Amino acid sequence: MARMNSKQYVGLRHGAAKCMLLIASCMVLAALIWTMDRASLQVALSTYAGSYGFFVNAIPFVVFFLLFLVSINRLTVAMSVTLVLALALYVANFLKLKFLSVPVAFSDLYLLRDIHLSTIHLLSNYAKVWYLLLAALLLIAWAIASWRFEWAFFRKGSWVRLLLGVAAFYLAVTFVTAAGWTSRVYDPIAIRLVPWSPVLTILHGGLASSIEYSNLDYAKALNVPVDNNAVKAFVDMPSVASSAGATASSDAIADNVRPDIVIIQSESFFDPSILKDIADTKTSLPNLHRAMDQGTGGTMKAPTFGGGTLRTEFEVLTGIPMEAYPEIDFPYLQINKDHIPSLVGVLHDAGYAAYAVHGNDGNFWNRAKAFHAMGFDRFLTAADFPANAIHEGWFLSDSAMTDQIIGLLDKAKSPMVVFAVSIEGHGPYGIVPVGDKARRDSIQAPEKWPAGAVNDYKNYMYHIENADQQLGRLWAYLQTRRRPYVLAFYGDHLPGLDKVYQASGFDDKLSGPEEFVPWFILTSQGVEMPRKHIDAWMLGGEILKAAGVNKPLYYQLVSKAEGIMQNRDNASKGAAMQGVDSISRLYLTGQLDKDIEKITAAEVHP
Amino acid sequence: MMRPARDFFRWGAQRRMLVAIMAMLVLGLLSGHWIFFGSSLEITPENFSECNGGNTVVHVTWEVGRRYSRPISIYVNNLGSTPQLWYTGDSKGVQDTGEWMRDGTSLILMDAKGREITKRTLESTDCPGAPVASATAPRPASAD
Repeated sequence: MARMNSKQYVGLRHGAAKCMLLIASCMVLAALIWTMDRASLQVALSTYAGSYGFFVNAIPFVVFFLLFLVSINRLTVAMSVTLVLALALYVANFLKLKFLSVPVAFSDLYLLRDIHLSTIHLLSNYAKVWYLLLAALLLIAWAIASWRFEWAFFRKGSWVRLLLGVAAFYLAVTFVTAAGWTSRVYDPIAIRLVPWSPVLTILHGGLASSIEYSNLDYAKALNVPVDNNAVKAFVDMPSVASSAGATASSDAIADNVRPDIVIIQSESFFDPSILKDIADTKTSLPNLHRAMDQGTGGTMKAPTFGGGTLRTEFEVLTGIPMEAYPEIDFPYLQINKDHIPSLVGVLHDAGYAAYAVHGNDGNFWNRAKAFHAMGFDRFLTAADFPANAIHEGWFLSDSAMTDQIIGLLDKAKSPMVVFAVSIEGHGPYGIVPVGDKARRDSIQAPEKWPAGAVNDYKNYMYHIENADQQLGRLWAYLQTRRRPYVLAFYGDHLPGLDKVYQASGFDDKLSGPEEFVPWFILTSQGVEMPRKHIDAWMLGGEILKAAGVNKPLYYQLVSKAEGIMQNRDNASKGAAMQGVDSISRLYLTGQLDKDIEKITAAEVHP
Repeated sequence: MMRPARDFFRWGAQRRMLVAIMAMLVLGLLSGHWIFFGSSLEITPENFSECNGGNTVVHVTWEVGRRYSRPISIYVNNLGSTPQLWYTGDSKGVQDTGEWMRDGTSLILMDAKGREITKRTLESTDCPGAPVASATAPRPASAD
C-alpha cells in the first residue's frame, strides 16, 4: 500500500475537519430550529428535545442549508439565511396562534402560491413592516459582508460539493413533492400525529413535520370517499319539518315580481352581548336587534374563527359543509374546478342576474376565479369603487360597499342577487384606523377590563356599529324601493379579540372558537319567526325558501338535514351529518342527481 | 512540508468561526445560568403514559432566587390557550396540581412584575397497542 504523502495527509485532515464542521453546523441548526419551534408554541424550549420529531423536523431546514451552501459556497451566509427564513416561519406560526388560535399549516402555502399585493397588504397589518424591511436589509448586508470576507467552503472543482448538491437537490424535490422517502419518515405514528389537534401534532413532531405530513395528505384532499350506506340511511330517515323560515307567498314568485336578493357577509360581525361583561347592545347595534325581531334569524355556526372568511363564505354559497373535506382549509384555492355548484347557480337558473361586491382585490383568496366558477355574472372589487370612496379601518368602508349595492339595484332590469362581502371590520384591532376618533373614544367598555382589551373592544365596536348603520340604510332603501326583496345578513366569524375574550369570557362559558355569529333574513313580506340555530351551509336553503325559488335536489336534502339537526336526538344528528357529508361530495362532483337513485335503491352493506 | 499560507488563513478563518459559534453557545448557556441562577421549577413526572387517560396529576416544586420580586405566581397554559393563574404566594413551595395536567400543558413561573422566570411543559408517551388515529377519524367530543 502506497504511503500517504504529507500533502495528501494535510488534505485529508482538512476534509475531515470540514466534515466535522458541517455536521456540527447541521446539529446546531437542528437545535436552533427546535428552539424556535418550541418558542412559537410558547412551551418550554426543551420540550420533546431529542425525540424523533426533533430530528425529522430539522430535515427540510438542513436540506435547504446544504443546497444553499453548495450553491453559494459560504458557510455562514447559508447558515444565517436558513435561520432567518426559519425564524420568519416560526414568527408567522406564533402570530397565527395568537390571533387565529390555529398554527401555520400546509394549506397556508396556497396563499403564497396566489400571492397578490392585497395579500401582502392584509398580512402586513399583523407585523411591523419597517422591522421586516430592516431585518431584510441587515440580512442582505450580512450576506454581502460574508461573501466578501469569508473563504469559500469547498475547493474549486470539489467532487464532495457536487455529490452533496445532487443529494440535497434530490431531498428537496422529494420533500416538496411528498415523494419517495417522505411517507416513511413522516409516518403518522412516528411523528405522533393527533388528527384533531394540529397544535399537538406540532408539539410532538415539530411544525415542519406537521406541514410535510399535510403535504402528503393534501394530495388526497378532494378524494374523500362517498359513504353509500350513510347516504341511504340519511335519505331513508323520516323528514322533520324545520322551524319554518321566511317563505315568499305564491303571489310573489311569478317571474316579474321575483324578489331581489341581497346577501351581506359582514366581516367579523358578532353580537358582543354574548360576552359576560356586556349586558346589552340594543343601543349600539339597533338594526341588528330590530331585524332579529322582525325577520327569521338566530345563531349560526361558522366553520372558522378570527379569520379564514372564505370557509364560511364557501359554506353559504355552496351549501357544502367544510367538514365533508377535512383536508381542505382554503376551498377557493384548493378546489380547482371550472364549475362549482352553488346557490348562485341555482338563482341564475331561476332567472337572476348575479353580482358580487367586495372592497378588496378580487384575487384575494382566489375569489375572482372561484366566483366565476360559481356563476356570478360580475364581481365588483376595490378597483370598481370610485377613487374617492370612503375608507374605514384598514380597508374600504361598509358605507362605500352599500353605495355599490344600491348602485347595482338602482340599475336592475331583472331580478338580481347581490352577494356583498364587507371588509371594514377586519382586524387587527389594536391600532386600527378610525374616521371619527371622538365617537370611538365615547364607546363604553367595562371599567374592570385591562387597557388593551378596552382599546381593542372600542376599535372593534366602532366598525361594527358602522356595519349596523349601513345595514339600516340598506334595509330602509329596500323598503322604499317598491320591489319585493330578501335581505340576508350574517357574520362570517367571530373576530380575533383575544384580549377581550380573556378579560370577559362568554355568558355560556364556551370559548371564542365555539361561539356563534348572528344571522337573519328579512323579506318585503316581513314574516316574523322564532329564532333558530343553523350551520352556515344551511343558510342557502333558507334564502331560497325566503325567495320562493324552487329548491333543487341538493337543497331539498340540506333542508331535510336542517330539520333533523334542529329536532332530533344526537345519534340522528350524527347520522344525518354523515349523510350530508357524503351527499355534498356527490354534489360537488356533479354526480348527485345521477347517483342518488342508484345508491338508495341498492342494498345496505354493513 | 510547510502548509501554504493561503491554506493557513483559510483554516484560520473557519476555525475562528467555529470557535466563535462555540463561544456564543457557551456565553448563551452561562447567561442563561446567570439569569436563572437560584430559581427552579420542577415537575414530577415530566413525562406520563396516556394509557390511563389523557390527564394526570403533577407534583410541582419551585424555588425563586432573590433577584425576583415577590409574591411569585404560577400560571397554567394549555396549548393555544390563554394562561390561567394557578398559584400566587411564597417564592418556595411544593404543591400537587389537580388531574388536569395534560400533554403540552406548561407551568409558567412568574415574578410579581410579570416577568417569566422559567417554565416546564408536561410530555406524554403514547399508549402501546392503542389504535392509531387517522386524519379522517372522528374527533373526540372534547376536541371539537
